[in-house]
Formats: sequence, structure tokens, C-alpha cells
Amino acid sequence: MSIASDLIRGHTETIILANLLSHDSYGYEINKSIQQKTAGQYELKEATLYTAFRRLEEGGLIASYWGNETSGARRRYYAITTKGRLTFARLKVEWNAAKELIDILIAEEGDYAN
Amino acid sequence: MQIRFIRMIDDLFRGVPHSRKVLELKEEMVQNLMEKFNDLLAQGKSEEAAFEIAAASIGDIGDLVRELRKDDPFYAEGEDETIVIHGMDSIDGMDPEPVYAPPPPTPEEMLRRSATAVSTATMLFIVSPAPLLLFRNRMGVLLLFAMIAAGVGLLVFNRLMNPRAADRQAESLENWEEKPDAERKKLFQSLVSAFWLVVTAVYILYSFETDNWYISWVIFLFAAAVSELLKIVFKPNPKKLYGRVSGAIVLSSVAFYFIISFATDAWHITWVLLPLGVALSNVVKAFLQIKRK
Repeated sequence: MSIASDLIRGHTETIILANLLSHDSYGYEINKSIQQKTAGQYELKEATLYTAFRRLEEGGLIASYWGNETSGARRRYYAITTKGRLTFARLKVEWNAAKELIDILIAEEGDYAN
Repeated sequence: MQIRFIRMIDDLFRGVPHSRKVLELKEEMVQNLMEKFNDLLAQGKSEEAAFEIAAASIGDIGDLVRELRKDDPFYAEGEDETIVIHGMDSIDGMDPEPVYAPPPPTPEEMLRRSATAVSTATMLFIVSPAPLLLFRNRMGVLLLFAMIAAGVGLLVFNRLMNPRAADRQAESLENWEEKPDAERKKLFQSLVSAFWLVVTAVYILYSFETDNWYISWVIFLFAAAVSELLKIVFKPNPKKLYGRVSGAIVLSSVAFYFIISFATDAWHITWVLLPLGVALSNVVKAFLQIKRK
């Protein structure tokens, strides 16, 4: 695991919330879409994913329910709650602010010379 | 293939209490692993490769287990180091035998050993009344119960040593998640029946010996209290914990009431033991509830 994935791991919960904004989803589907969005560069370990699910559910940011699949094993779906949406919006603002600050702080001489 | 994932997950969660949460998490993990496995197969991977990739994607479940433990009153903070978590890391390493593989049993030998144990136990049960007819005294009763106890011991031991039955249960997919509970329940039931047999034996022996029939029966009150406590140890169910502890206290106080009353003949005052017992049980109950919070 590279330093980049360590950095990303700190935002696992934000990433999961982002994946639930448009529709309910389940563990493997979320991880698959993370893989596809990053062209295979990033994938969550299952243990990380389920730990985040438990925390988010405990915090009331997501809710889970069992699907009624007609074939195969039933899936456990997660849905984002209103509290989850509000938290996501806040986390996104915070991240954008942090990103800008870090960009400024690590900028090399001349990067910002106009 | 599903059974391999189930076994692997069962192994990873060995030692974690079987709460509803844990069972649901295991079901969820197996379902997602299977879906990943099937996708990998569709991409042209071999069964073995797909299994290894899926297994390696699990990662370290240490945090997950701690998270699940948080709301389990039986595991206080800081006890985590006693739990062995089987890492999946060795999969991509040199280990040719994956850590989750069940130990290879020799089926014929297991079967033979089990059959010997069961038939010996049955024989003991059948022959057990013989000493009673032969000796017609305390010795006969003693031998009868010794033989029954030996037979029950054999059956319990056989169930512990013979994993075949457990394996067969694992194979039936519908109730895989109940497997560990069912196993535990069976073991618990054998222990309980052995326990009551011993209690009955002690009751009869003591009563014949001392002729104190008027009081010896209170052993059953104590036995009921002990069996409630055994249930707490073997079926850690937080919801029933308070009820069982306070039940055990009330039963014990009733037993003490009779013992002390017969011993001292102070019936006019001994009755206060009963309200005292109830009060104590409520105090303990409240204490446990506070401690849990």
C-alpha cells in the first residue's frame, strides 16, 4: 500500500457516502464502482469497508436493509440518511478547504508567480 | 465454492461471540465475496486464482472485530489481545496450505472411534441397573450412577473430538450461520443432562445415607441456580443476563431459607431471608445494568 492509499483511507467514510448519494448500494457494488472510477488504482479492503459501514450506521449516517434477491444469496443494502447527506456536504467542504491549503503549503517557488 | 468462503469467514471470526450482528456480517461478507468471485470467473480467472484474489481482498479484520466487540458486555476494553485473528496475508506468501483449510481428518478412523465410544456408552447405560440388583444397597446406587456418568462423559467427549457432525452441518447451506450456535447448544445440553444426573445421584446418596429427606431436596434449588449461572457462561445472551443472575439469587435464598429454618427451627424470623433475597437480586440487577452502560 502506497502513501496515497493511506491518505485515501482516512476518507473511506466520505467515499462511501458519496457512492450512496444517488442510489442505495451494497458492499461489493460500492467497491467495484470505486475500482472503476479509479481505473483499478484503488480498492478498499473488505475489512475496511465493513468497519466503515458499521461506524456510519452507528452514527445514523446510513441505514441498512436486506434485499429480497430471487436467485442467489440476499444482499445487504445501504441507504444514506438525511443526516448522512448533511455530513457528506460538510465533509466535502472541509476536504476542499484542506486541499487548497495543502496545495498552497507545498507549492514550490514560482508555482504561484503570475 | 460458497462453502469454502463460509469456512474461511467462520475461521476468521473464530472466538468472536455469535451475536445477531456478527452472523449478519458473516452472511454479508460471504455474499459479497461470492459475487466478487463470480465476477473474477467471468473475467477468465481460474477457480483457484479467483478464490485467492477474493480471499486476499478481505484484509485485516482486527478493527472490525473490535468494533463489533464494543457493544458486547462480556468483553471489556483491553481484552483484545487474547483473541487470535487469523491473518489472510500468508495467502500470497510461501504457505502452500492456506490458513483456513480444515485439518485433514482420516474419516474411517474418526468413524470407528466414534462408533466405539457410542456403543460403549450405550452398553454402560444398559448394564447400569445390574449393580443395583446385585448389591441392593448404597454401593449399588453408587455404581449405577458412576456407570451413567461414565457413559454421558463418553458421549460428550465423542462429540467434542469428532468434527464430522459439525462438518456435515456446515455443508447444509440454509443453516450455515446457525452452525456454531447449534454445536454449542448441543454441547451445552449434554453438559446440562450430565449435571442433573450428578445432582440426582448426590441427592439420592445423601438422603439414603443421612435420612434427611425433609431438607435434602433443596439441592435441586441450588442446582437450578447453578444451571442458570451455567447458561450465562455458555450462552452469553446480554438480554437474559440480568434475569438469570437475579433468578439464581432468589433460588439460592429460598434454599437457604429452608436450610436455616430446619436447622434453627426459628421459622418466626427466617422468612426475612425471602424479601432480603429478592432485594439483593434487584440490587445486583441494577448494578449490572449500570455497569453495562
